[in-house]
Amino acid sequence: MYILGISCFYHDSGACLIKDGQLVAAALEERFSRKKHDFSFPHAAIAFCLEEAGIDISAVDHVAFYEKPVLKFDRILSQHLEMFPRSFLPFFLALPSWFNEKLRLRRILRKKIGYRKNVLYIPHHLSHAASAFYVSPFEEAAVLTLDGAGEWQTSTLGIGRGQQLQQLAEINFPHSLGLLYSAVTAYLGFKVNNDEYKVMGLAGYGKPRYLEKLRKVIDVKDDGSFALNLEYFSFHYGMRMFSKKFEEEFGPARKPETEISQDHQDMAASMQVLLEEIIFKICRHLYEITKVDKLCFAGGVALNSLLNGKLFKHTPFKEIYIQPEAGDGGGCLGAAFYAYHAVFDQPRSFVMEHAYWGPQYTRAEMKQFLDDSGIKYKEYADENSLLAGVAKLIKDSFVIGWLQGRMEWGPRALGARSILSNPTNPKMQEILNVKVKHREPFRPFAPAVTAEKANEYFQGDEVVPMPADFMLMVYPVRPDHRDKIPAVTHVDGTGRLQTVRRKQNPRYYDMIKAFGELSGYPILINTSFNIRGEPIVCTPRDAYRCMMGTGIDYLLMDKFLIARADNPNDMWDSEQYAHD
Amino acid sequence: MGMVKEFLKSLREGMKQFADMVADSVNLLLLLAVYFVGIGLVSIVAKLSGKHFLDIGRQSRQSYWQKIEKRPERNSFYRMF
Repeated sequence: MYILGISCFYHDSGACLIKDGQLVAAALEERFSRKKHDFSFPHAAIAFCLEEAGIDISAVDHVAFYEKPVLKFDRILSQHLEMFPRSFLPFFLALPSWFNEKLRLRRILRKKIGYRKNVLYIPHHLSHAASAFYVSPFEEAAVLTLDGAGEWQTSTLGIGRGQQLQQLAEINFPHSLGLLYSAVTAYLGFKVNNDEYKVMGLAGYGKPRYLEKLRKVIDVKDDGSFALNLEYFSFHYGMRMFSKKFEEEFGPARKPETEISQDHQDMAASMQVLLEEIIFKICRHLYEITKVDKLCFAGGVALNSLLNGKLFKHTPFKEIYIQPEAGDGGGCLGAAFYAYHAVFDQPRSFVMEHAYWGPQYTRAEMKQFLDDSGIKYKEYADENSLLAGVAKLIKDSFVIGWLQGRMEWGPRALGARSILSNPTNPKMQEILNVKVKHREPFRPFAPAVTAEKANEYFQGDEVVPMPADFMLMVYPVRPDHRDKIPAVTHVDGTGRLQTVRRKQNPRYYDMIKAFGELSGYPILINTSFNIRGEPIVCTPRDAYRCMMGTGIDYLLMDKFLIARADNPNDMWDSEQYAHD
Repeated sequence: MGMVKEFLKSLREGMKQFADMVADSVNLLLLLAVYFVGIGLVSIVAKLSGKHFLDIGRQSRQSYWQKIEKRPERNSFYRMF
């Protein structure tokens, strides 16, 4: 049985295909369309999934969509009815798209991909819950979902047992932790649904000086349930996330791209601390009502790696699973698996142990691209010479573009479409920012470490949980190593590490080890292979283009090493595209 | 022949722009009518009768969690609502 999962029309559209309960392929549309956070119908992602399975659309038995459009429209209309006439502008801007596409999914499926069979509509938060639980290694787990908003739900508690997934409690729009975090993101001059992770990075520089003031905007109970004081917000009727009263309380909002002050850093720290406090309470309550010590966590808030790294310390949970694409893009995965296990009552047999579900390119395809484009390159004869050669380049502080195997599923580069460099060089963060990423200096770079060495360098949980493989946990770097790996140690002494296991990605793992043998540290800087404002690269062409437009020194695709210095730098100028 | 083709192409583009303009104007009028007559009237009547569509009041409760007692029926997944 083939089930095609689809999520789209809000942000980060994506598609996945499962066959008899096994994931075949999954990808975000942005990687193909080259539009960051592309929310349009995921044509290209669907085409890739079908091609990967070697089928056409007629072989797909069911399509599962990640939410119920009419229920969501009901919420949108309710907002306008409640907030009339203040909701005038959003009504004009949003309503046409509802009638043109969001409420016409069946027609779109018929016209754009020729699909005429049944469509299953799985509620948004149930899709989130399923996207974590059904691909987790747990037979039984408590399930927490938190995001901006689905149809009505913004937060749910649930429990999964075998094929059954049950929601136990909910909090509905407009009361939302995701929207609160987004409001502070907007207040700090960053983009909503894009830059929340910048607030997380900024938090490390601040003190939670505004924590008590922030408590005024949200009423939190001992069980973690909460209600926003909506006088401080305008997201439920306006184009802005926060109201004038919010600015009266906290001072004027920061304008985008202006200087970041200590106040802004303190605000970010306060928001992060408040979020953590609330979620720890929620988790303790969830444990109380389920008595299960395994947690599956999903929704955009589950991407807050700073919070995730503290969960075991502050809650009774002993094990955790977070799927690499825990945000809305991953809804398609949950919808497809929910349809298979819960609706069609099929047994579970799949665990997502790695994130490599996207497209890959063969050696022959890469060689043809290089030869056809007249690109100068060298090919390593064997694996050992490749590992030794590239490890030496990294040790010498060259910046390496790394395109190997199947592209990652989710927002993080995890060693398939990554930029690798030397974490022991104190200037590496600056070099990467100036030469490649063009991003804010306060944002840290992530360390990739071999899984068995993680506890040697990081003060993580005793058994580092699987989400660390997906770069979803932040842990303190051990104090005696902080000055040895300065480029991946954040100002607060933490690192958002990726633990790497050989069975997941042998070449990447061996590369880290080879660098360890040279430098004494089996750790690499791993940052996403893109420049600021662009999605992560997908194809060899994207990768070459990115290298030639930036200061990346070498590109390794399969065993082909391309030096930027050997090739004409006339492809394009990345500087003009360097924006969010 | 080339000039005729060019003329027809420009004419087609002009007509398309005009059609888009008409469509946008009609959409605008329809949306205005829907918002002020449809949404507006219902909203005013609802406000007069004390009906709320969103939980925007801030009445403190012991817990804000709402229990979900009912499990969705299998057939409900085939509906958009």
